[in-house]
Amino acid sequence: MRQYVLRRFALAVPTLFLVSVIVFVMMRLMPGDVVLRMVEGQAYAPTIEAMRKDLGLDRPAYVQYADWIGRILTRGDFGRSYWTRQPIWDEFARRFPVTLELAILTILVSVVIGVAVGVVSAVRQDGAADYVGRVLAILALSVPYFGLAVVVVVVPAILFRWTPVWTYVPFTENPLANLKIMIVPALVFGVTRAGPIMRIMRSALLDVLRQEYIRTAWSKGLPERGIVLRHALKNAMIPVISLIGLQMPLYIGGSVIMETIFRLPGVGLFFFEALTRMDYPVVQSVNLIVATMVVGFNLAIDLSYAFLDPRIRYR
Amino acid sequence: MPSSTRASDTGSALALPGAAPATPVRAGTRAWYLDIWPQLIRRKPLGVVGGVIVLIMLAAALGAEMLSPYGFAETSLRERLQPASAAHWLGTDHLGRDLLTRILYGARISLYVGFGAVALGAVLATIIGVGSAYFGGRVDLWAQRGVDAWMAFPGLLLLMTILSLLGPSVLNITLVLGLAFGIQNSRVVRGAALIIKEQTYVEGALALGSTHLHITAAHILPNVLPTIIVVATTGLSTVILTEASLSFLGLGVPPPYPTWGGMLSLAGLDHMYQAPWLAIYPAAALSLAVFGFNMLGDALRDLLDPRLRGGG
Amino acid sequence: MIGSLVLAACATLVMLSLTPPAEAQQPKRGGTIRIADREAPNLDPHLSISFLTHSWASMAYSQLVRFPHGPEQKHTADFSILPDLAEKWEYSSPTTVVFTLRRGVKFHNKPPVNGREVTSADVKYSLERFRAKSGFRSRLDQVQSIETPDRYTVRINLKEPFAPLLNHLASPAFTAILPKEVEEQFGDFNRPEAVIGTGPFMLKSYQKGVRVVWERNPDYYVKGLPYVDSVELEITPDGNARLSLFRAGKVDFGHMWGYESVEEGKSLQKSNPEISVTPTQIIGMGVIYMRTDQPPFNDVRVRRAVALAIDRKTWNDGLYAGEACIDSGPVPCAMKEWKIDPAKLDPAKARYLTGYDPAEARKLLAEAGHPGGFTTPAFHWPGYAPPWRSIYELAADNLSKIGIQVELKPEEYGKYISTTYLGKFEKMAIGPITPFTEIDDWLYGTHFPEQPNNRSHVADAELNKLLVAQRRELDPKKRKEIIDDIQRYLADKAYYVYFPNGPQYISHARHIKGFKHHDGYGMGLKYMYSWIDR
Repeated sequence: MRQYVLRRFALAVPTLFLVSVIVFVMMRLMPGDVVLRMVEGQAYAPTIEAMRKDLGLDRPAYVQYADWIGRILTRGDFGRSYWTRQPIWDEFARRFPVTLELAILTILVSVVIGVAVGVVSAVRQDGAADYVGRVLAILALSVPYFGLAVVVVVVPAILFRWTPVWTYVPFTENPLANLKIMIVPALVFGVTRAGPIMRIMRSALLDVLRQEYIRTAWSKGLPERGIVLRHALKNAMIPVISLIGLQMPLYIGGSVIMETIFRLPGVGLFFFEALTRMDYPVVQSVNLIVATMVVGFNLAIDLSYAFLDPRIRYR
Repeated sequence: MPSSTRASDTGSALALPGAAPATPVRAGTRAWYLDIWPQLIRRKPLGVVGGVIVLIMLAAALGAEMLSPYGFAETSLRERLQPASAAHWLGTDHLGRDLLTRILYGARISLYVGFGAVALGAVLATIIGVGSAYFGGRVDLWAQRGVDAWMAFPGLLLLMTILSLLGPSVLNITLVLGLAFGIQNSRVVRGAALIIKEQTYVEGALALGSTHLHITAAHILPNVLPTIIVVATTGLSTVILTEASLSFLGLGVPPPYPTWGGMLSLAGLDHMYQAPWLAIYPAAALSLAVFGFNMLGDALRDLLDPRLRGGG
Repeated sequence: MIGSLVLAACATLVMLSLTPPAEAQQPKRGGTIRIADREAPNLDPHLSISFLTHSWASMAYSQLVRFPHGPEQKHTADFSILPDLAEKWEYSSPTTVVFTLRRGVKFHNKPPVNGREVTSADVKYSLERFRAKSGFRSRLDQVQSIETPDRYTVRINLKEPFAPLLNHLASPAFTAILPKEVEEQFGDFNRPEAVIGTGPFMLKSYQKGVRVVWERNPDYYVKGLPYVDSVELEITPDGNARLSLFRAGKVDFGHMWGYESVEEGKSLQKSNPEISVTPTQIIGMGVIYMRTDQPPFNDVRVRRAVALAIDRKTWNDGLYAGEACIDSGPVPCAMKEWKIDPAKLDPAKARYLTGYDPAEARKLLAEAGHPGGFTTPAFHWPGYAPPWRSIYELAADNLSKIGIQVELKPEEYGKYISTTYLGKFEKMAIGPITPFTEIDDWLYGTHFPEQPNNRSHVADAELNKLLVAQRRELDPKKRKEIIDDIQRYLADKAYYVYFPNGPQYISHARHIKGFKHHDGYGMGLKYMYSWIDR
């Protein structure tokens, strides 16, 4: 077991290494020259050469890469933005709670809807409730969430002179006001993400319910059905959690659009703006931080899965 | 030891909707690809609904010229932003073009991007997945780390970076979405291929001196195919939706080619307050198509997933 | 004095209609103005060329001189020069201007400046910092040296007579006067606590990505102004979200200058009587720009064909309800005092500015050796406000009718702004030109070789003589004659192909009084004269 855990940790290292290389190379492949932009557009330095030197972009690429990674590994220094000259980690840490809260609320919404519909749909397989539930869930999944978000912002403003958009307030400052702002984007995003959870839930439950001993218990009546459901639910939650783990990057990526429309000061917008301004260190470091979180999260899921499911053996 | 490999891939095999660990299809049973259609009609009414929607979409894409009296790029500024009328059943857009016509033609681009990306992605997923599973060991380890690395990025942002690098065009978008789709789903294919590989008869064939290529073609591919089909069918909807969200960020298929995503997120959102139908109708078409593909995909998965075959 | 002469040259009102009722009411003090708009990328006025940065800067900083606003302005493009930190100024020779500073003007009372008095050293420091650091530094290239004979006198020595000087010094886009010790303490002026100026408002708080709040500067050198206690800007990147806030009454302005499109403005007039809507012709310009140094656009016949292919009348009716100005370049319509009377142009030449003749265009193309037309890319950024996305498609559509197949090439903003926007593109691009306040920028800036705004790569020796001559001429009347000559010369060259320029519907909550649009870039002076009537 200990060896298995160690091995899984060891495997995360090459993954993150690849992430760092991919993002580093990709930024340098982007068309346009950040130095040119900073000097000609904004005059951060008297000459292009001086600027290039100032940012360390005159060095060979592998030196730049080693410098970036080296600072992170040895000092936990994620660098500074080219444009604002502010430490990246500070800005990230300030913005991350917003994105995280939106992700958690979104997941909550989608799990509640997905599990509820999934259970009903499995228990009443091929019945009316199954059809209605699945049609609704898949319909929700089929709606482009950014379109839905805009409708939610625009339509009440026309019809009722009301808008769900307002100034972001941190949860720690005023939880109620915070939730009032976050709930609408979380609902919009969550509803459109409930479909896959519902499907997994349904098929996992169906799997369990088909087993012979369960069928017998099920046929005995209500109290046993409760037990069966609880048992089945517990089993089915594992793939649901794995799914959420896999979709983590999607919550971060999708949050760019939600943050733009609902004016939430999160990581998505920070990243997006850095990308449009070719702010290499910001894009690289934020990508790496997010990737580390995703890998860590998936690792935790796998490990908990290994703990939960006694059938799994370890090499 | 199947269990040992499984632990390291949990996320993958279980996670993606449509992930159906395949059990080998044995010779002698009726070909599954003939078998499922009557079953679909008999047992999967929702799948039939999905299939009909997909067929309608195909008809719209193929027959747009015959179905509409207008051209998709036929501008008429004087008739701009008109609501639905007898001449324009769904009204006109910001340049006075017939909206229904553009939605019909939009099906073409959506399908082109959708099928193109999914076909490309399926091939890629098969190569990576089957290759990784078949050769195992170091190849598998590194291939999977690459897949891990890719999946750890926020997907939309990755697409944005690549697209701003290549420049948006129908072909580039198809390529990029195909690449993303292929890498993501190689996991599922790998999971299915691993199970097949563990079957003794593959080992037997190897012992009898068959080449790798032969074993892959004769034994693994046919058995992995149902999984690939399931992944592809459900993947179509994701690809079509992703193309739309790229348009929202200004990286979609450039005008004047009509795409649903572009119609919704470019012109549509510009005129939300004056002509909401500009966004609503393309969004409805998009949702309907995605809905159709999802329903059909789900039904196919149920039918192809052996665990579900006997049940219900 | 040059200032008063420019004033005399100013002409008619540019407001299209709905002249606001005479303001007989006495302004009331107090209250908060709320705005929804995008976030400025940077707070340092010299380290950004963004109009957002400069508008924010105009709240907190002053310049040597300024443009008239509110009750002072004759019309929205009134660029007569008023005293700001400089009380008076005079040309002691054609190449020397002496400014006398207003005494007793204090910086905001924040550390490390702590409300000390503005002196000539601050002016010298700020102008030199601008000349060293700003992306717009070429605006003061003609300055030889800046001297400070005493605490309240600044002397600017020029290399040669330079007519645009005072306008540049008055523009909030360029030369905010900053206190030196802030840079020594903070490195630059990019942090909220480093925003210390002499402007009508002081930066009170700034939550990145959320909101920025300015409060009244109690020590502002004009007693009794500003009227309002504070101005709050809710940072809202998405256009539909801004409109939602505005329509729901959560903000008084859906844009810091009150801009709404013609369509949105008309819709607001119908649905929201509590919102005041004033259609206003603004300085602005949308163009096709071309690599006139390379085939096929180095051939004037090809450019003329492009110019004749644009159906401006139909665009105007369709996109702007017939309210746009069709004769939109090379001098923007709203700059009435510089624009040549169209009647004074040779009609045979003027048609390349405003005419529509696809048959003639096809003939010209054939003469130029392209009987079957050709294909060209058109680079652009799709993110500009409506109706820009319609414009790109319309231009492509119009050109296809004369055989020029346009492939629209949308670019991601970062790429666009660092390549196409600086003239680095192939063949053709479409987009707006930054709305500057000084006529020199519209002519010299867009046509003189090596200028960053010369995106069409114009290099025309005969034209260059005129371009240089107008900026050396200090007498506005004589300068106007040269500028007329330039307009006559440019009419049939089609270096740029101009689109109709639509009005903006200046919209804000009706209880905001005294807000007047001015084309001078900033927002500080507009909100200084605004008050709330409740």
